[in-house]
Amino acid sequence: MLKRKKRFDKKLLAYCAFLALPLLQYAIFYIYVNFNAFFLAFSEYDTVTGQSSLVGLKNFTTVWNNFFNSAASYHFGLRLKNALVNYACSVLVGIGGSILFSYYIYKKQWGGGLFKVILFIPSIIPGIALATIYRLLVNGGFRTILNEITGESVMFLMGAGATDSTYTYVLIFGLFFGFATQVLMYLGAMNKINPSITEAAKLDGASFMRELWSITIPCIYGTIVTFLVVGLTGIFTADMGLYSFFGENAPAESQTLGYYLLRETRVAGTNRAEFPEISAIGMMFTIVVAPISIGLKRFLDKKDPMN
Amino acid sequence: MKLKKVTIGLAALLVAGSFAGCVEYAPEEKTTISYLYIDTYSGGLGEEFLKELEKEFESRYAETSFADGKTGVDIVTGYTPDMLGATLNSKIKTSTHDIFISEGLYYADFMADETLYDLTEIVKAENGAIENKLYDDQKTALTAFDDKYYALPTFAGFTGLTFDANLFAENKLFFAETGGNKPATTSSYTGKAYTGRGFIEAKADQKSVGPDGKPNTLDDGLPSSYEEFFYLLDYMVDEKSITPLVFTGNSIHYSNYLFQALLSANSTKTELLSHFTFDSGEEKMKIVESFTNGVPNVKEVAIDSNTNGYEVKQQYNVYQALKFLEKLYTTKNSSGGMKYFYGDLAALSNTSAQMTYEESYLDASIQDIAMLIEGNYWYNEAMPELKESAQRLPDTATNREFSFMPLPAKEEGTVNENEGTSPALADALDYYFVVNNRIKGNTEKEKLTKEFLQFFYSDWGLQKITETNGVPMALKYEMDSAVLANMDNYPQSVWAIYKQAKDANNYVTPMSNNPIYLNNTKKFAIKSTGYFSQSVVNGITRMTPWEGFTAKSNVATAQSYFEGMKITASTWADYLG
Repeated sequence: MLKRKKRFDKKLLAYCAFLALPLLQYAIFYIYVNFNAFFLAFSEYDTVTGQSSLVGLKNFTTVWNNFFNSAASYHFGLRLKNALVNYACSVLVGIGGSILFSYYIYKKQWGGGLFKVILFIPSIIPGIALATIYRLLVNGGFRTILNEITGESVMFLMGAGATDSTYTYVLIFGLFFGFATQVLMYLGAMNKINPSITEAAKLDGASFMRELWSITIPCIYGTIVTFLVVGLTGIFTADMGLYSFFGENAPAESQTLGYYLLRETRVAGTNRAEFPEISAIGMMFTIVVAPISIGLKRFLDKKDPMN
Repeated sequence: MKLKKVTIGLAALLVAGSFAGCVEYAPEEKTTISYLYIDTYSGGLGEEFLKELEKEFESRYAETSFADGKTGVDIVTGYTPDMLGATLNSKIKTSTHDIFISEGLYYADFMADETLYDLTEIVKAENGAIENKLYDDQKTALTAFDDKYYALPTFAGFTGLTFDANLFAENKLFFAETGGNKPATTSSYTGKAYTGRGFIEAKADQKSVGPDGKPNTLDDGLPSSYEEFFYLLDYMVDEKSITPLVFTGNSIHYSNYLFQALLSANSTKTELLSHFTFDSGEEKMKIVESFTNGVPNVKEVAIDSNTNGYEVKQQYNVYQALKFLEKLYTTKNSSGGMKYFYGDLAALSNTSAQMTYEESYLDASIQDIAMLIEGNYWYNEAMPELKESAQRLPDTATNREFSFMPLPAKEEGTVNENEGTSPALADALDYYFVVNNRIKGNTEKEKLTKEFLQFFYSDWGLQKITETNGVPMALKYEMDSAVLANMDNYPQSVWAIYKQAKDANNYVTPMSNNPIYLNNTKKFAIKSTGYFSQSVVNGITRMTPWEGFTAKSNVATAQSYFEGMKITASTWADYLG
């Protein structure tokens, strides 16, 4: 006797139910938002008449002039420089340091477990609270100690009263507290390495560092590439926690392009007439960073030692 | 199988949890009574005033029916810490609240989504009972969209300095009407021979007339020029070991409160309002054209939005205020710190700055602090600490003689009787009352809202609010003298300065119906965290004069900061389209 075909597959239904939320999220927060931003970048809105109209490249021209032909052009260069320094530090200290640290824990060296706990403790504190604590610590106790040592009367180490030193402290904060996430990711990748490979390396007499260089790093190459590529987009989006620290008044010398974009959005984000210019800024950043990111990804993929 | 169920259960919980933040608290409604939901930003002004109104309104309307089968009303109040205008704008569509009283609210920003209920009929009802209480510039600005009202002003949130009158009296820091003690012969502000008044030599000495030039007013004995102001600051530090100023170093934009106060003090109403209207009508304003060897070349012109509206940013008054701030922020003490400020600013939040200020007089271990940079809401915000101090030290800490401080308008010399100015006063915090458009078509809610709005803006309502939190409402009304006499010293001083501006028709609502303003609120609103005080100095954008003058490199001067605030004619042409 022929079996009747089931009307629907329960497993398929459960699968669809699980996928529905992320897909909905993707549709709203990626497709819709980006489509809307694209349209906004070429339009103009008049609050008084309530009318939208297409204005071609006008918003892009305005943004271009703000960036390159205005009194504040130097500041845009400074923001770019800060973002690049942040990227370079996150690659050298962040990625380099966290690989070494992860490897140390992965190899179950002395105190590795304890270091892991110490490293992850700050991660359970909300970012805004962590930023507040850090700022109070730097501007409070640390500043007092520094004043005692130098005999000076410095009032601020971070904030609008410390335009010269704020960036350094924010950079240290970002590197130190961003460490845990990276360590977690690399540790996860390292734990997936087939033990037989490391066993074979040991039998062949590979030293501690040789194993890292010749076995571990090639095996976690994919994770490293992800951090390098995602970090690159951060040049235009990372605010380095400046908004958490200073809201809309981060000292000029510490700002990044990401902070600039965030602040413009937060300040002007309530008046629809001011949306188009912000969208144009975002679009211009995308135009620059998208090909570079894709290019870097392809280049690094070609260099994958496991291929 | 069991694991599968647990996994599905957890996933469902996660999904439900992700929506939890979107749900507002609402009680289980009874079918026999009407409900009105009101949300307010629970910042410095707190919620007590709303509780007082709730009690009275519910009692007055206990027997009134707003819908068939229902009698009476239950007002459900909410107090949201972050419900500033921008947050409200993003949440109002999904909010279950009917009415909002918020800070930092730019109603034009809401118009694109039609989220605000049209209040015109209510405002004009009963022969314009509410509309008659509005100032003319409020009426113009609030009816920018189709001549309809979508928002109404609430608190008159002006900002500036608070001083401790008791500390001033004890240390003889008031200026004398005649003669007086002159501890120095040179003015640190002008760098020349001091031309201001001397300090009183005994508590009972007659005080000078102050900036307004009138005797027996709030500002008697206070500095009437910048020269006198800095003479006072130097005297505090050099002779009296008093710290002149404190504010929150954690939120540096509070320093803009002083900038706003200086501008209010040295501007006429038209000059101040022109920052938002870009129009001075027939009135000619002093505009700085250029500088020659650091001296401004001033012209007097009328400002017209369609031609030279961009020149509002180059008003001489702005430059004058910046000169004051440059001197204030850059004068150092012997160890290289800021001479006029509390040394540990960096560790102070706004509430801990209030507490430090209040405690400095009571606690011998803290050097006395004379003035606080804050909004006029601070006394209400600090009330729990003030009460605690009063319980601990009833003789010295009860109803302290704090007072709002009128600032000088002129730079040098002194003000004699009848030679003073009547300063403008601006709401710098943008407090508004709006109604959720969701109530449209709901007869019960519409009736209730109408009654509540009329009750809120009745003389009784306005007086009760002022009595409760000590901040005037930005409307034309009077306070009962008996009620006023029972209020603490600080709220009395705040009312006095508001009344002075109100009676002289000098109160300014910093907004307009000009399309350039409405389309660019980000750039022109007086908001302390916004672009109002922004400048580009040596290619660097500075958001506050504090940042510009205290920067370690690319330091601004009053001139360079002022020039960096300029709007160019071509930018203005772009605005005009």
